[in-house]
Amino acid sequence: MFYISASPHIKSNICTRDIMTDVCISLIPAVLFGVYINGVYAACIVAISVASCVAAEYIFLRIVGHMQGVGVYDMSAVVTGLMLALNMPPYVALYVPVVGAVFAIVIVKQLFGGLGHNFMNPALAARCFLLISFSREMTAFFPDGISGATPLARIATDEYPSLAEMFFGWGGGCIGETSVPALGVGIIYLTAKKIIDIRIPISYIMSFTILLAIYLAVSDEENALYCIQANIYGGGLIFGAFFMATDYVTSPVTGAGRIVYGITAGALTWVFRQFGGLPEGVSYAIICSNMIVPLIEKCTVRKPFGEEKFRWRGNV
Amino acid sequence: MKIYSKREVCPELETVESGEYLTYPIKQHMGREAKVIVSTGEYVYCGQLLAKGDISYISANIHASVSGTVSDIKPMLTAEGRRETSIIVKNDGRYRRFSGRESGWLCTNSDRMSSENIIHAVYDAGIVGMGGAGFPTHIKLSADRDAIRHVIINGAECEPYVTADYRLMLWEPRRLAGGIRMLLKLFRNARATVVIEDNKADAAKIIAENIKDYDNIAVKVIKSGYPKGAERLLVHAVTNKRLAMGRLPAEEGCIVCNVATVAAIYDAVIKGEPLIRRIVTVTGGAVAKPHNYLVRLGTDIGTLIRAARANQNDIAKIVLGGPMMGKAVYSYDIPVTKIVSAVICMDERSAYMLPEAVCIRCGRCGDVCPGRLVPQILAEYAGNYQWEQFRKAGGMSCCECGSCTYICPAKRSLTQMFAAAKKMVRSKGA
Repeated sequence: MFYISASPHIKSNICTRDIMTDVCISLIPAVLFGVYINGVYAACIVAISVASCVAAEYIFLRIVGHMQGVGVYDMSAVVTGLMLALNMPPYVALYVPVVGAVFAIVIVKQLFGGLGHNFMNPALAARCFLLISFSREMTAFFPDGISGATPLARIATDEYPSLAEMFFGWGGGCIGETSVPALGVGIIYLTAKKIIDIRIPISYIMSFTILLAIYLAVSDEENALYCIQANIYGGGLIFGAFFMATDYVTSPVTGAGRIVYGITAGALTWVFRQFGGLPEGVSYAIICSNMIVPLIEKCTVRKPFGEEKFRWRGNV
Repeated sequence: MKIYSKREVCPELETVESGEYLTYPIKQHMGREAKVIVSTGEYVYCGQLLAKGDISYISANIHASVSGTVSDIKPMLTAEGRRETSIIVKNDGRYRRFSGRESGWLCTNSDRMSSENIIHAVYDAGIVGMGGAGFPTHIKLSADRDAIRHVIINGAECEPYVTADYRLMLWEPRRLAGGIRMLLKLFRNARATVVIEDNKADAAKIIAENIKDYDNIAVKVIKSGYPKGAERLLVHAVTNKRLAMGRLPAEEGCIVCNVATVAAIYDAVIKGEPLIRRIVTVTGGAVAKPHNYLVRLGTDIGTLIRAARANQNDIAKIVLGGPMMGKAVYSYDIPVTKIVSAVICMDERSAYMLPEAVCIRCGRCGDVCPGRLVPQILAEYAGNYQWEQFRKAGGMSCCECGSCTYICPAKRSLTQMFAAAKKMVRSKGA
């Protein structure tokens, strides 16, 4: 007997799990750098975060009887766990990532329908939840007893850390988002494997930079160039733009929509950083942009081939 | 979109002995079935008309490809999965040629032939679009001939695995060039362009050598990728005009013909030969080496599969046509018709499909859609039975090329959903 099916009869060999695995691989340099800078404790945070995300997903799927929990094999919980861990301050109490993981997986992801249906990036939503609920623990950027601020927070108080310090990520901050070179390796990997759409981060960073530059020009800032670079290297901008904003589920599927989405997130980041009282402009900006993704998609659906109103090249 | 497949072409064109019984479905084309004009027990010659397509309708003639007796006329299974009235001829193995032609169009001096004679020759020979659609060619050629500016010859052959057109271009470029000149005789204001993908550069070179004496024929090499050979994309590649779904190339002054069709036109007009043979690729995981056979129409695919020495225990799925748009069949008795370009014998490994998972909204489907649709959104409407929204989102412009299904990392059967949804929309509208 032969198989019968409707065409097409061949499919590409890429599957959801491969994509998730690639994202995990791309985050390895950032994890290694975070552990190198912050010590073994950071490794514990990463391990606990990933383990509790996977456990939360598995247990939830088992409880609701959704295919005996097989959904856990698609690696998406590992990605969420990694993202969450890299967003943690390096000296956070160990129960915080566990709470965050349960919130991310159960509340943000599974209660809205599981993979592909969450309207917010689970890791980011959990991070914002933790920031509000555990504000003291979530600013544990330095070992107990030593208080301090991240480089970007120091700029706000007219103290200028060196650009090299911020670029390479010695200056402190969350586990995984400080070092541009370490993230860069992952970004190159993701781009080369065509996992992320580069239009989102490019439009994100461009819109943020342009708005910041205009603001600095208007306000006659002396160290304008320094400020722009510090704002790009410091904080979670690179990590957010390349790894968080490009999350498939919570970004538009249309090409034009992705650019609009990137610009929105960039503009919101600038607003939150410039005028907001709280740190973490990137997290809130991406989450807010996630909310308007359905609207963006609705407005940016292309006309089918041959029915376009505008044509880039005229008819011959 | 790039589809990774090995593209092996066997060095020579082989012929295959036809089996004992040959089956001729009376509908191998778009439109009406042809009318049977032979009866059971009658002796037919190779090339004799078996079923006549009414010239005033969209239909095409069917000829015998062997000589022998008509053993039966009964419904037989075809590639489409229907049972179609078919004429079964018992092959006597002598291939006696039919000589008595009633119409006087056969004329060796093609320069003296009028346009009407050429079209009538094409009609008589029962030529249909051999790329897969099976649209009767004489209807296509009867368009407003002076308005046609571009004759586009489709040698793109973008489907993976299939090399029948490639082999034809390498094998008989002169025949192809002759057919193109015949078309240009019909369309006096037109230029001909042979479109070939860049993965078949040797074919492009050979064709270019054979047409270098004619300044109104050109070869255009395009980047390879699926579905570059789609009619609307070819028109765009040559004229830069974008045809919406459902509009005919003739509206923009174009005629698109497959290379196999053009070669058949040459045979019909110059040699007076009806369409009784075509090149078929036999390949797939269960076949050790891909073959291109010159096959007499009506031969059952089982004969081809045996000739290719396929390991019959390995065959898990048989696809007629390319793997992206072809039809899966479940019997060795299906005959080769005018539109079958390949027989793909897939083994268990390539026939296996991963189970469908949920959409992760990666947007790859929209990136590869040649119709600029967003399959992800369409699938949402189709899955929720929202036919009206499906139509508004451009779902009816889906050409069912299969690109979205191919690329989907969640392995969703998008094309299949859209094909069903389109039928639903049409039935609601009627």
